[in-house]
Amino acid sequence: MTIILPLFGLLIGIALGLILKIPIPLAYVKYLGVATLAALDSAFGGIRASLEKEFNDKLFISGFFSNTILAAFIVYIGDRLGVEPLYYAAIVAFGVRLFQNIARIRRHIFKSRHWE
Amino acid sequence: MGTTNRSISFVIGFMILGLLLSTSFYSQQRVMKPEVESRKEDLMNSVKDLESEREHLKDKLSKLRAEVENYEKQAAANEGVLVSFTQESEELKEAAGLTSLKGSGVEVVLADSTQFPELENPNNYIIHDYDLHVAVNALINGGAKGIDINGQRLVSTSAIRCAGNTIMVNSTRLTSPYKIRAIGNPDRLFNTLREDEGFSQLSGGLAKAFGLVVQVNKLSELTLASYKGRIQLEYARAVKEQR
Repeated sequence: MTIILPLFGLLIGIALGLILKIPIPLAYVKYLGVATLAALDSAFGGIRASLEKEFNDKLFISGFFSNTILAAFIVYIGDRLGVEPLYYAAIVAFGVRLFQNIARIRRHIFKSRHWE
Repeated sequence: MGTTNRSISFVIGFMILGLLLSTSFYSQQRVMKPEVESRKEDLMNSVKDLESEREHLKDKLSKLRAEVENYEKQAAANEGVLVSFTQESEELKEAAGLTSLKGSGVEVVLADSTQFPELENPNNYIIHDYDLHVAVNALINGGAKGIDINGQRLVSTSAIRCAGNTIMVNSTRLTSPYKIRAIGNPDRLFNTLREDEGFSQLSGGLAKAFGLVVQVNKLSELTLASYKGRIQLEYARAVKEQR
């Protein structure tokens, strides 16, 4: 039940994107990629929090939006200031968090099913 | 904190995640396949369309020209004054390349090499616009009265220029092999080609070294089609001369 609803939302979102085909200017595709990574991180963070019974809907939604927008914005600022490595900073930061979240989700599943 | 709030926020979050994922995916496809590529196909199609339309218009033009000629002949038959005028007009048309020509002459065949070694400059192995310039200039020098390249009659406004991997003559794209036919004294044309420095370089060293095809044949009879393109001058006006 808890898995089906988010999955449903995900599918609707993907379908919406494929149908709308929002024309992002090619120069901004890079920022969109970073924003997507941040969103992915927040989503997995949400799953982890939910499994660990720490989920807070306000925290989740606010984190989701602020992370996504900030990630893209920081990379954009970096490009404007000539500090292009900020792009890698964002990718590494969110990438590491993503893997940590996934690892914790895995661990939680192992624990709850007594596979340890 | 109810389960409903939690579910709703999850759905919203994942929906936006999905939207971002598919939009990024779609945008990245565009980055990897630049717009230039997709536009190229459109442009090539429109070139083809326009070319076929132009062929159609050329046919129409030559029909209309024939009609005008008919009227001129009729008028000349009616009024003796116009006879000399019509005759002059015929002669000028002949010289300008607006009529078909028949006579003896030569045929020069230039074709790309069949070998394309990978490591070498491929430009050495194909026929270029300047190779055609060399041959055409030599033929004119040899007193050719009419020349065509793959059926494109050369007139005073004709250009021979490189366009990608084709050569444009009279704004028509031609590809190898290029058959240049010229009407004139076959022996004289043949000898002028042989003595021409540029052409002998092409037919001698270059053809042997890179495998280019260069053939010259004398022909006892050949027919050149008339020029079918536009002849109006847009920017030039004739200066009236006292005779």
